[in-house]
Amino acid sequence: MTPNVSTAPVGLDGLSRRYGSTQALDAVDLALEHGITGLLGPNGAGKTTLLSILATVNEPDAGRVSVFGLDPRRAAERVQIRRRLGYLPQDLGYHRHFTVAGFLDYVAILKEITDRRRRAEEVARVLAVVGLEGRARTRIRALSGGMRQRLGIAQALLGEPGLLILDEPTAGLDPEQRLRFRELLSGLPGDPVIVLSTHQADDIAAICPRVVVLLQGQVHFIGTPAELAATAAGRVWAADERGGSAHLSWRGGDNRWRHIGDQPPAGADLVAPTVEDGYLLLCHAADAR
Amino acid sequence: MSARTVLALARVEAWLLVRSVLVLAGMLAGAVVIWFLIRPTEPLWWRADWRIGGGQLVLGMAVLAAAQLNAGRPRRDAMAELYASFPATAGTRTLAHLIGLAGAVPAGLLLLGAAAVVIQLSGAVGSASIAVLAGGLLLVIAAGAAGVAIGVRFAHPLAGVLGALALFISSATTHLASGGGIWLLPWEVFQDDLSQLPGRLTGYPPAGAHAAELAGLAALAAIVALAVTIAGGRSRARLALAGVVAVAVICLAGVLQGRPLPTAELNHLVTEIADPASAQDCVTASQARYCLYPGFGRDLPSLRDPVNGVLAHLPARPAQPLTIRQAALPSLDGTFTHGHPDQQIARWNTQLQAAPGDATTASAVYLSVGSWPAAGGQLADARFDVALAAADWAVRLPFPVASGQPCVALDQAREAIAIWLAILATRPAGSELQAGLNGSGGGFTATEVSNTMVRTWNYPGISAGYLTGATPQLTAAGYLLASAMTRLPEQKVSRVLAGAWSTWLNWHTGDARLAAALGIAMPSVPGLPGLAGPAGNAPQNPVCTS
Amino acid sequence: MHQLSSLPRLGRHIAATMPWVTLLTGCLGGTALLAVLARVAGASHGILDQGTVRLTFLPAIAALAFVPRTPGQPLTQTLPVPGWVSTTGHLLLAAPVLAVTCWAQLAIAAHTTPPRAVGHPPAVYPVIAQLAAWCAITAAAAACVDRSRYADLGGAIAGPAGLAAIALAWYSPVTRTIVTGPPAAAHGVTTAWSVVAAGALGLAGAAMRDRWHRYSRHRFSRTGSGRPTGQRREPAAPAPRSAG
Repeated sequence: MTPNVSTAPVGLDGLSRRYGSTQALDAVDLALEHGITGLLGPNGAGKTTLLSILATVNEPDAGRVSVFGLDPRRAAERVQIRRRLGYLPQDLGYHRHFTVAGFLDYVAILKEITDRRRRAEEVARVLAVVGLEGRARTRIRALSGGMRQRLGIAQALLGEPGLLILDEPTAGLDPEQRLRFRELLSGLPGDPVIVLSTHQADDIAAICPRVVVLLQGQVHFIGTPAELAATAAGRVWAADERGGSAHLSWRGGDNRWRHIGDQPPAGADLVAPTVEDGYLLLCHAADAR
Repeated sequence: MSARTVLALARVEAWLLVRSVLVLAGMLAGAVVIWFLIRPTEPLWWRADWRIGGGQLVLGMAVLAAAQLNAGRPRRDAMAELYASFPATAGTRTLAHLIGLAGAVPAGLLLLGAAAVVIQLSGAVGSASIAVLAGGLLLVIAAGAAGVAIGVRFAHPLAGVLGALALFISSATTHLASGGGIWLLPWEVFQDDLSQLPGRLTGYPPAGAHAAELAGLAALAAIVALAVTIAGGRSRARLALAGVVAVAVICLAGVLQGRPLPTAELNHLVTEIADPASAQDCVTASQARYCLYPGFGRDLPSLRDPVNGVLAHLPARPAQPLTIRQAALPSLDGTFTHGHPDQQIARWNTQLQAAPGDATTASAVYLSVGSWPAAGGQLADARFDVALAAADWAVRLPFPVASGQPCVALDQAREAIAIWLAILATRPAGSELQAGLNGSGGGFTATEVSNTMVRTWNYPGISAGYLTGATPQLTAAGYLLASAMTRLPEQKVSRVLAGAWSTWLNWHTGDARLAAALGIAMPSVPGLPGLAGPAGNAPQNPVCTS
Repeated sequence: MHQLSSLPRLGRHIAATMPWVTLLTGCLGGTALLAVLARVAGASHGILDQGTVRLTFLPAIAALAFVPRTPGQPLTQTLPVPGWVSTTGHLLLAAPVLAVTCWAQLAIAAHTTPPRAVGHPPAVYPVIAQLAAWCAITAAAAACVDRSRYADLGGAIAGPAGLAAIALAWYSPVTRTIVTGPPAAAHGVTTAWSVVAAGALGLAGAAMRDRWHRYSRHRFSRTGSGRPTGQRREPAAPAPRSAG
């Protein structure tokens, strides 16, 4: 059942945003429920723009945004939204001379957690959640890329936000940390609305009950991962040789060529499609238009 | 905007500011500057408290740069987008940065406290002005507020460095401004008129108004910083109103600083200088009179010792008793007299021309007010200078000499005797005396007398200006003979001098005769390379007669 | 030196990556300030001397602190053309800008001197040598900072550090009598500052050298066992599996 934009906790209605001659978002309608929604799309699709608007960082040119019934166009409501928000931007710089705990304490204050004891408890909690409790006194400049990414996730979790916006949260994480990240998201208290954008289709498949595919500023798919995979049903093949008629083909780890397209090459076997296959077909179709 | 959020952020920002490398370095540099400004000189509070502000200026520059870095941190570290998603707005953060400037106050207080201790332990004259000292602290805060205002708009670190340099340059080029205008700039660094005042002059510098100006500048910078970051019509309107008030305060303070000094104050100052006897306290000890302005009694022991050292070795003394008197000769330039009619200024200058420090008197030694050193090698030089002046009085060498070419005691035994008495009284380091033959201290190595180049000797402290008036130019021959005399038994020399004292004081009596009387060879004067015969066109120095 | 041969080929990119805005802001800012001071001096019949030019040249010095910065780290450390080539190119581009700024400021200051002023104006070459030495000191400070943990702050640390080094050279009792005149003569002052400049440029060159040298010292130091730490242990043989 498609959630209703006007009744969902977070709703986007006819959202548009332009940067110069580039239409980053084009009349996007989206309703986000409690739970995890994955946002898939190629570079330049408008994912970061969409998330930054949700995070009340940018203002849309047209359309309406509603977050927990609050309208970010009103200053007071915008502040209220931000009190319930956790945001991890895509290219987050850091104050390299801060310690890990010092940085989180600073962000906690910016999130208006003014009670010192509560702030310390909250910092300790998020550090434990992301597995950085042993690095509390380490300077950020001494952290590896993966640790900094976990620190970014930690700051987003401060204050137990009702809306968690994560732009490329698994970038730089090793496979074990990605698994831990999935576990983390699954166990967040309070059943927040979580939107995460990623290029990793298997992350989407593993943890997102809902997927939104954004291409060229427009929503091209809303549904479950299984439904996205099903869009490629009957159009994914495996063969020993490469065929010329496929939309996309590549050699897999089993040394066989995987083809996505309408015309199977000779000797090809039909295989079960994955989320990635469905996404790639959508991208191809959008490019062809 | 939650007050608790602002205060919590301000605490963090204050801590980040106070432990910033720049602020710590600024504090250290400020301490060094204050040390070099106050340590070598006489601890006059009316000069020292202003010079402490010079050190606060250095700290202020560091706080400005550090505050700019802190305020621009989100944009510089690519965190602006994240910060925009927080409930604490940019205005909240800016306010926290401004309140966090309080973190720099302990650093300023530490500088101030340490300097005050040093001054008091050195035997301070006068008392500190709270307005001046507070002005120094306000300078630090105003600089920090300017740094925040720059940083919220320009995140590039160069902006903070340029701001700090602009503050420094504006304070270091105040000599280009005239009259009361010099006080409008953040801090007048090279103020030296204060050194020569015999006491604190009311309204000079206009510390209260200057502190108000600095407070106004701090407020204006804070308002600008908030205006850049706060959105909303009502807030902006309130800030605009506050800005108008701040500008009005600055303008009013500027006007007050530009006011002429009260005529009564300047009259009193001119009288104090032109007729010091009316203001000074005199003490007679061992037939020498010491006349000092009120509060300068601390100088008495260090004056008495060298003079007594000379008097103790005199076979006879002149009829006129010696007077050691402080003389103040500030240049009554535009910083003092602006706003007063030219006629009045001319009257004051006429009065000042009668000031004793500038006139030749046979029985007085004039000390420049505020030049007496606190301690160390400079104090030793100053004591030698006083001893030499007393010795010149004792042997009737003309001192001080009014403006014009100083005379040269060429081949006069009394010259060597005066130097010998001064050396005996103060026992300076031999190396320092010897260095006077090589032009040390900025003096010349030779002078022309009667178309002949004569090798000269510069006594320690010759260019330090501890005494007013020009001294007779001493010759290398006189010094070398005196130096040879110090190697003889003191009683032998005293006996020879006492045997024909009036002869030795006669300017016709030459060095060779004294050397022969003492039974020593006349020391030869080393020649100077390139110095052969008369120079021709150089101004001639007269020989000291009388 | 053969590495410098890549400098002309990199010319366009070096010019593109040069922080022109930063450098010009400092140079123009100081010159504008001097122009204002000249106006103030003119109003009060004052003269701007070389000391004022020394002060107003400081903003250009501060801007220069942001120029020597090895771009594209750590990638540039892995390339055959070393990173200091670009940095040298930037400094070479900055030199004429600073020279023009110095000339302009001296001209503005000279303009305030009345044409029939008594006496000869002081020689200009000592102050030029002094300002050149100040530039070299700042470049050295920037190169050292670029190699340190404060590299990300760049000129924010290098600028004040350079100015502090200049103040030390200017006011230190050891160097004061040599580099300030009088009593030092113009030739002596020029020579002294030229020596300082040469030393500073040498330090800058040393600071810009290949960073690999820092690690080689530790990597090939001998351990207590006598075996170099760079050697690997032989892997232990795998334990046999138990049957069943």
